Amino acid sequence: MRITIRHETLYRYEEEASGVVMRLRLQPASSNAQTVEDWVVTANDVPIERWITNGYGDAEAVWRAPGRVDRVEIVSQGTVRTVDCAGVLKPAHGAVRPQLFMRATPLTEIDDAIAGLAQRARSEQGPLSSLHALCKLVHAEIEYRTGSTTMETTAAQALAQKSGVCQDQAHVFIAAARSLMIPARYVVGYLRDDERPDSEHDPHAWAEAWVEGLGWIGFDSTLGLCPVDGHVRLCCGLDAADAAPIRGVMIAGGETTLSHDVQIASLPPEDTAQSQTQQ
Amino acid sequence: MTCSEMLGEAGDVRDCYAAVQQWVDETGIEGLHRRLSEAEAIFRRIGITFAVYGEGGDPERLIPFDLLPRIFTAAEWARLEAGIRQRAAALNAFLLDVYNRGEIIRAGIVPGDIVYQNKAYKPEMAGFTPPGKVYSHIVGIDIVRTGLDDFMVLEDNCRTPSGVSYMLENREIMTRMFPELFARHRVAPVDDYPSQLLRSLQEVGPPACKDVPRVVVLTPGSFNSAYYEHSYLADLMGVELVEPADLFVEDGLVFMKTTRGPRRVDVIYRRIDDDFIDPLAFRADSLLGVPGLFNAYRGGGVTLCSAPGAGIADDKAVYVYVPEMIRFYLGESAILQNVPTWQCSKPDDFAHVMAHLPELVVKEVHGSGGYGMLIGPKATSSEIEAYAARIRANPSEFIAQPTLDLSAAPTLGPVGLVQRHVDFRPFCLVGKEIRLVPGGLTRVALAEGSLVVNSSQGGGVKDTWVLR
Amino acid sequence: MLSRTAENLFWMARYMERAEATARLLTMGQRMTILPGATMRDEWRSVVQVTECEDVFGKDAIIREADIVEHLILNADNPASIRACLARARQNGKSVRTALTQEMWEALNEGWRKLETYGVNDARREFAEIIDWVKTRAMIFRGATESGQLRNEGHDFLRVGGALERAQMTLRLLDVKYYVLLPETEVVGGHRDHYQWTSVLHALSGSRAYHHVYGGSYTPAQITDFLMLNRQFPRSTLYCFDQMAYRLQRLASWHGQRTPANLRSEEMVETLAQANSGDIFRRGLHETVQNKIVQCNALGHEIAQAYHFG
Repeated sequence: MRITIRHETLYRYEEEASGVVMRLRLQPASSNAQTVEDWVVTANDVPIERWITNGYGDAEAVWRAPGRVDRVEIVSQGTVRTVDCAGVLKPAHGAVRPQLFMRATPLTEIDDAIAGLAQRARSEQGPLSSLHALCKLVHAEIEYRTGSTTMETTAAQALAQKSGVCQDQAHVFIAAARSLMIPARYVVGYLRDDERPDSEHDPHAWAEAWVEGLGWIGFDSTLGLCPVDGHVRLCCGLDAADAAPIRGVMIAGGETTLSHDVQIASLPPEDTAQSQTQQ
Repeated sequence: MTCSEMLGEAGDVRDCYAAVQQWVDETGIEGLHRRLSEAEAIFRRIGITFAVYGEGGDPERLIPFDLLPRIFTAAEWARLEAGIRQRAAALNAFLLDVYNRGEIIRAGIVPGDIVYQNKAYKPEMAGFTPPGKVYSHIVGIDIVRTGLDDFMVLEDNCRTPSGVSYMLENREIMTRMFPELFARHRVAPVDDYPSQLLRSLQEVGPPACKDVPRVVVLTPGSFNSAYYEHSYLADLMGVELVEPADLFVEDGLVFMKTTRGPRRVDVIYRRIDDDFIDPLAFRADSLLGVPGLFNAYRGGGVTLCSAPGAGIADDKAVYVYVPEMIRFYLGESAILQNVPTWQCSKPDDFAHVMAHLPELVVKEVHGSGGYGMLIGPKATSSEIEAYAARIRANPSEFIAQPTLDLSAAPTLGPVGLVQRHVDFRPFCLVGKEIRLVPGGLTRVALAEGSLVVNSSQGGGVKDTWVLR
Repeated sequence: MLSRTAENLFWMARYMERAEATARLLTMGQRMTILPGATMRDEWRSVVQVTECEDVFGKDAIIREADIVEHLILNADNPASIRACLARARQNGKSVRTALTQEMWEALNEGWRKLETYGVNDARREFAEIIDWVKTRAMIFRGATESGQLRNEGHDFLRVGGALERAQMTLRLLDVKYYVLLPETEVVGGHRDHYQWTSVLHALSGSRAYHHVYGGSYTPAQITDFLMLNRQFPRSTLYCFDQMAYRLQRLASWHGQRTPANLRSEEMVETLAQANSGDIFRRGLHETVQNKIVQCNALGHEIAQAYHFG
């Protein structure tokens, strides 16, 4: 599938903010499952050109607002060609050893209920089967309900209330996988959802787990499936806080309001020129 | 029996201390006390003070200074030096390895968990090789002596070991006040430490720097307990002493704010902990750091000394494996031995520790500065009971060692010389090559019988002599 | 040089100058309270006004010596107190330890906690000693600066800060005491005004110098001339303005660039140098002084801007 994405993040400051610096992880990398045809990130209309690769293998840049600003608008936009690889990510992404992703974080603390859930998914046929079962189980146990959780909700809380959004489903999956001694990490990206209008999308999140011999494999508990060709992968981390695609600081600026606007459309496969003139 | 630094096996004064003994006899105890007050007055006026975190009282108190030097013979130093250099090389090799392929873990020598599950291991560093492959540019190695021929390493300090200013100031005071003592000995000089430090730092300039790198010292500020040392080192190296607010990151490079506008900075000798250097990379609630600093570092725009995450090499759980690291990376056997250590995370060790608490010293794996430890022989049974409960609750957080009978050195007491336990911290510099000035900081536990030498717990300092 | 270093040097000099000025004002205040008729007047009030901390004392309360000792010497929370000024000067110095010589640091550091140990009663008993001690500290600091500090830009930042603070102190004193210098008071005459005049001169350590310049008699016009326009007296407004312009010009050559602060400081010198005390009285002493205070504040801002303070 060819997917075009426009992701706009807008920060508005009640008073003019000084010392605004942001760390961006908004540049997708090419892999077996996705080829980035073109991609541009701008901050207040200035293109971000200096990207480094971080320890997780993701692109990362720092942008510093000149002087005082009352708004910061970060726009990433581009086209990605995707294929369905049954979730298997190649080449093995990131320099950090998979074992690192056994670390517990406050958002992915394992409690008895999570350990119990993991045991129900455990399969005699090895970790891959366990993970597939776990992905379906989390999908079944946690109802997708917008607004039922916050950014701070932990995996344990989400499982206890049996509802949440993609972030919570991914956290529960990750915590449970780790309790089975399988390294797992949080992935941020986009999902083209054919049932929604192009302009009504949100950033998406899922999980990846490490299976010896296969590498990192994606599991999307929101769908109960491995990622398909509607997924575009952006960056990863130990949990949602660690994988945040934008992190910022400022010295002063009063109240900050944040809004997102994500537009995702699928394009006809070969029609490159026309798609660009349409934008 | 406690090993005496000054007395030989037969109770005779060792040759290396003979002239000091003679000086003490000539000066008399009263005379020494008079000179000590003069020395203290100089220290206070200069402002060499040491504040202790989290303890009330004078925020800028003096660290007690003892007039009697601690002396190493040339032969003793030769062995120490070889051991220190070897250890500094192995610790840096270990850091390069665990932030890249992790061969020592794959080889089954160091368990992966104690590295990757450790907060001191920074995944942000994975896959990045710092300039010169150096992570820890100043390695402070705490060494104790238990017999005339027995030196052991108590712990390593790979982040930003402090105390080198005392090494320099103590020598300065001693030469100023007692030139006659130095006339009687051939004491190896330590005063070129700052220029060696500067050279080491200049050798690890970042890829973006094509000229002689501009070095700065980064301090959290004048309220920090080691601020005096920060300003002292900056002064002696002739470089700027900057605070985080003086720096900013632009286009992958680091600049300091000057009256002439922004100026490039290439190498930052930072005396701020990992967690606080960059709120965009590490602790988001840090008000201290320079936003974007880590990104600039990873991008090759600046060098941070020490590298973030260097602390994994001096973690007490990793310490146990240093002799094996030396074998693994250098193909040598360790010249300086470790103190035997029981890891409470291992069931057998745990059982041994719980059965022998009154004889052991137990430490928190991630603790430092002598805080939160149990000294079995000095503890009451209820203290031992309470500590045992903590170990049981979280065994992997603790290690235990036998209570070492540290050597004792002659120290000025109220009415005469007394014997007090000492340790030793040399400062090994790592740039393109490894450098070590002949000396270091000798800390002394001033209370009779005490084994705690930490300056945060009432320890004092001595000048340390290496004879030629 | 680091902007923070420049800023700290600038403020360090200001706080030292302020501590010393407060000490001098206290001497003046005490002198006036022992003069005839003092109990009828709130003599300490003018001291409090000059140091700009009336809110600490209350608008209408009678201010006693004990209050003054407590708040203007010992109170660490009152930014105008001597203790606070010395502590801040030391803190500024500590933050730029590498830009100071050993002697300068020792001058700031020695005895910096002395005032912590005093209660109000002890301090009243040792009032004169404390004041002398403060003045001595300031003089040692100046001496250490004069004889040891490199004449680099740091020195100029320090000196411009000192001159600005000193100019403001003289101006504030004139602002509070202007009424005793108005020509009409000549008609009133009498001892009181004579005491007031000499007290003002004392507060600025200018009695002797005044006599050298003007001979034995005191007139408001001459005192005003002396404190505003004399180019030899180091606490006069014009002398301080000269210093500021000179130091700022040196900074401009260090940096190879003139700034709005250069222009303003030179205008300040020029305007004042052209005035005589007659003009000043015609225009209104009070208005003139107020106007100079505003200009000093504006200059402070421009310096901060030009060299990227804070």
